[in-house]
Amino acid sequence: MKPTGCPPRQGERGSIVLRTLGWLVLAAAVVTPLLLPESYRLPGGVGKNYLLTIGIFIGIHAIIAIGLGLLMGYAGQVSLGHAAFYGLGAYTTAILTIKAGAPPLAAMVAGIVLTAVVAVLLGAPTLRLHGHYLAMFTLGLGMIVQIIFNQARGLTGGFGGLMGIPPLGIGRWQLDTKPEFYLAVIAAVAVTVLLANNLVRSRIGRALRALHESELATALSGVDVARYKLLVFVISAVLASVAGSIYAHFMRFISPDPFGFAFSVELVIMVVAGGAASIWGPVAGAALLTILGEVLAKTGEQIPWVADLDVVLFGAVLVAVVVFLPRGLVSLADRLRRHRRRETAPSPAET
Amino acid sequence: MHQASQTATEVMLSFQDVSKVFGGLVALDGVSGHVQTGEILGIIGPNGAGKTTLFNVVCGAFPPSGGEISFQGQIITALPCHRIAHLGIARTFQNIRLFRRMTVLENVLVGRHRKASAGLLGAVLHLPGMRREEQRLRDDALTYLHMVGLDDRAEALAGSLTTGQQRLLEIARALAAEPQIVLLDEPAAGLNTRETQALAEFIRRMQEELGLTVVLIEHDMRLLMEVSERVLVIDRGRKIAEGTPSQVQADTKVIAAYLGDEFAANSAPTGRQKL
Repeated sequence: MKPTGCPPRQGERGSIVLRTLGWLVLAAAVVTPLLLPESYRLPGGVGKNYLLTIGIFIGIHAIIAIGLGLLMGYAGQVSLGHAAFYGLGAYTTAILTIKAGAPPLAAMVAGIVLTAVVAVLLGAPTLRLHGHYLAMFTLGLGMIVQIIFNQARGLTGGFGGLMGIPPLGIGRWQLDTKPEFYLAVIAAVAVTVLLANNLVRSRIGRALRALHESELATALSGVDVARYKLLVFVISAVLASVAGSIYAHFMRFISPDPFGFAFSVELVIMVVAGGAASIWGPVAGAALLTILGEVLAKTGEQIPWVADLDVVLFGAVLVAVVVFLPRGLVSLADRLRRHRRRETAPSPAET
Repeated sequence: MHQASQTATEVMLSFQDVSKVFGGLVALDGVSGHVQTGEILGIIGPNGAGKTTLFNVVCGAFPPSGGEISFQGQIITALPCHRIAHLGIARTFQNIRLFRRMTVLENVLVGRHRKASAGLLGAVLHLPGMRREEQRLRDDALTYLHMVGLDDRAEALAGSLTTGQQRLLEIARALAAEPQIVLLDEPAAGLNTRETQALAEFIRRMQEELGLTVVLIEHDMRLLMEVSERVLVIDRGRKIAEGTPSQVQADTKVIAAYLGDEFAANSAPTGRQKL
């Protein structure tokens, strides 16, 4: 192998088939709900609209999970308050569009700015310290934000929440049907995946992966470790905020409940289950947990106690992944690829 | 290159009365010394003498408890690691600290971090300028890997290399930052005789061809005495001797530190293998 700019990895050609297959499956899964006729019913009376709704939720959760994955898998830090950033985005959008009549995109940007400021104020002092102080501080943030959502009734509507959020749109062009919104969310996820992938495969992503392994060696290479950790934390908080704004426009109504500690934990499970040190891992984790949650909720309509099993089931998923697939669901694809490589090349030069 | 010999009398790095206390343990007890521009300085001392602590204090891993460190006339005592790295100080580690789950090439690319400038926007959007810079970085990184003979392992994971290769990779990563001074912490530990010989040659090449100043901590006395122009001896956190390799080897305080006082009393300077 000649040491040119980017030598091809071993077995790359063999995995092209697999990769194409993966893309096809993904594309089919994304497009199918759109093509179903309105009258079509899956077992359990699940129709087209319901599938699109699940798809939208998977997309919203995936955007947050990708950000949290960057923080956990690349900077080695945990946030136990990402639902709070999600909530900050949602409430900023709701309050500004309802009470100030702001256009949706302006409200979304305001949410991003607010979230980024909060993330910097929280992250700047804590990320200079070694250890998991960020987890403690974000846990506290989640509680404070939850109390504000519940108690600042004049602004947030308290337990009752806020109603009458306008649809997402620019000027006269509005996403007021479900298939349109679904497509918009898919596009948002695609852009997030693309940009996150770029970030990870840049000098910044490299520095992040390095500091995850040895902070001292990374710092001595000239990387301002604290600054880079803060950067990822802010990026991940901002992604959660954007997802929150999308959520608010989709539901047209928000209340404090979805932005509590339980959802923060669920997000961490999504990232770990899917595989933190990748971009597609959190997306897979978001899909898995969102679908599981919906199946439980649907079953719970007939058998009420099943609906309360979500915590147990999510916990079981987490344990199972940690024990059997420590690098998450995405490592299944790697295993498949390696298996295939062994079949195609009888004597691979394992490195 | 040539300016190295012309400016050989200039002091590049100096530490004055540096001490470091960990709880009740005095690791460094008022050490003073300097490194001249372009020289290879060896540091020896029994285990636990404070050699690595001195490196850690110089490169900003932790602040000294007292004393002052200056680099090219600038006081760097309170600076964080990454700032010190940007000034041109690089090092390797006694207990190898590679990014094991990253490729050999990526390790060197991280080392070259300070020679790149792509920001967040360039990174996220993969702008053409950033891509050009990335390609240049890769070419540079391969050059450094070629120097240490690891270019054919560029795509292997760093953790899969042998100890000898890992020590070379650490050196390549340090060189990739284009430092002015490199601190090598026991680079020959775990190497066989042939690898050690190659390392000795390489350290001299660093001085002659790259114009680098080198500080070397090493327990392999043969290697150290062979390449060092000057040797500094530390024992129990204090400097006990300083001079040319032959001066140091004849010093009774040094012999006492290594072999005990009774040997020092009746020993004559007997050459290198004694230490």
